Amino acid sequence: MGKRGYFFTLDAFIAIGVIMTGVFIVLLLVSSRPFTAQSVLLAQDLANSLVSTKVKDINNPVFSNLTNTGIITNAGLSPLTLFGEFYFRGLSDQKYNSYNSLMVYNLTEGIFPREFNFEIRINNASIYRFNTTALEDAELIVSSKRIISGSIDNTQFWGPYPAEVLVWQ
Amino acid sequence: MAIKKKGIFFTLISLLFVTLIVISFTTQDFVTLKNKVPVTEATVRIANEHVQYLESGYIPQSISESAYLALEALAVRINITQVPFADEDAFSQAFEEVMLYGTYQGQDIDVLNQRRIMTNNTLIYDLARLENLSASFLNLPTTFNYSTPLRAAVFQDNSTGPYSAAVNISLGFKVNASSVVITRSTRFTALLTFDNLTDPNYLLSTNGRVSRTFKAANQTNWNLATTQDFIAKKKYRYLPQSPTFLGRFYTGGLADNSSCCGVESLIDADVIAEVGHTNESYADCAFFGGGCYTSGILYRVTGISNEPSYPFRLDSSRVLETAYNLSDYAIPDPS
Repeated sequence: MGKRGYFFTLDAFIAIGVIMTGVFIVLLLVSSRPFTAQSVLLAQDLANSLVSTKVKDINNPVFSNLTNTGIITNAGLSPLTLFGEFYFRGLSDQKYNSYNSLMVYNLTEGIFPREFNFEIRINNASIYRFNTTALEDAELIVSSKRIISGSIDNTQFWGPYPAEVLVWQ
Repeated sequence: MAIKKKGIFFTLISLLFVTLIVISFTTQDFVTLKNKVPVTEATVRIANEHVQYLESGYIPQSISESAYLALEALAVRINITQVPFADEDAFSQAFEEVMLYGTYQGQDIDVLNQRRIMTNNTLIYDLARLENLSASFLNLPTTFNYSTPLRAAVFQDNSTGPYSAAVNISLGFKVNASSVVITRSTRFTALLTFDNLTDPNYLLSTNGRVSRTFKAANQTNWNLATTQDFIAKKKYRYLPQSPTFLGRFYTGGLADNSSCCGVESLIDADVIAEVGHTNESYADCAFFGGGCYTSGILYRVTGISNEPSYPFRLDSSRVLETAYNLSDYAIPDPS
């Protein structure tokens, strides 16, 4: 065998190495961009957890305090329905809007990745927004929607309100 | 014939190309389907969640709301006319019309009562509002079936207990999620509590001068102190010899006792101040309606009040341990 054989073999290996490095760099760059699927799942997960969990099952001192002090009158509600009720109460008593912000902040802190931004809207009013990027500058916005309604002590009825969880990056 | 090496090489190359072409086309098909399936899945899931919300959340809630407000509107109507409904059927018919359409004998009940209760709160209005919101917000056009007249029946039985009523109504609806259409026809039974509802009987019997709203008592041990508290807080309690709360809306309703759902309050000094003392048991159904006990013996109960203007008395069935447990304070009333 001539020396040319060695040369071509080595050349092939080097070429493979260059191509793999290129592919690796491209994948690395692509992975840092927002994935639609990831944002969609995040928005759905956040909305689902706000709908399917019950307030009484949430292990959080803010929710416990509000329940113990009688501000939350029905701990069997889901958080999103509770936000809806407090939005309704907040129309006549401003402090319920503060409770809403406090509850959402405490509920999502630590579980919602902070590289994403999110907002919860009820009846087209923002009840809480966490953002490092303005919604107007978002490259990708994902929304999960629900209709919510309820009653206070089964005697005062509210809704139906459109409720929306927006996630963007 | 000898096999040429070039021929083998070209054959293998051509096989490789064909394989690549086949694989690449197969992959594209797979990718196309793979992208479509999650979209369809998501559409069906969202439509299902919406149907679930309608069936277990919104519709029962709307029925409860409109039924609750219909009872309030009917109590106001009774106060204005000072006439109860002729019988249970007349009451049920009026209830259905007010709850569904907000009208009484074809006229807007809020206009008749000069009080806004049913406006934007009837069941039909609630359903229409949901139809609009589903289409505009969720992009899930939803239609309720009104082609057959809706019928709503209000009742109380063992399942409701004395402090609530239930409303039965059959309703069909359709949710259109473009690729999926979900149709349902369901018989809904929604509960409504009487809390804070106006008792028409007080308004009728005091000519509108005393109004009382329903509040259920939660005490289980009865004695002089709890009875005094019960009267002071103007509450209602279950007793099998009493009529139902719904019975307070129509003539003869106070005379029918209900073993499952009888409720009563006790007449307080405010009522006596307005209508004066009568020689009757101070259970409201007896005091106002002359019913709800059979024995003619009345007992003066000492300790409830020392005021001569409020000579509290009860019939024999109510001083017993099974009712208010006031035997120790009861003396037969000679009057």
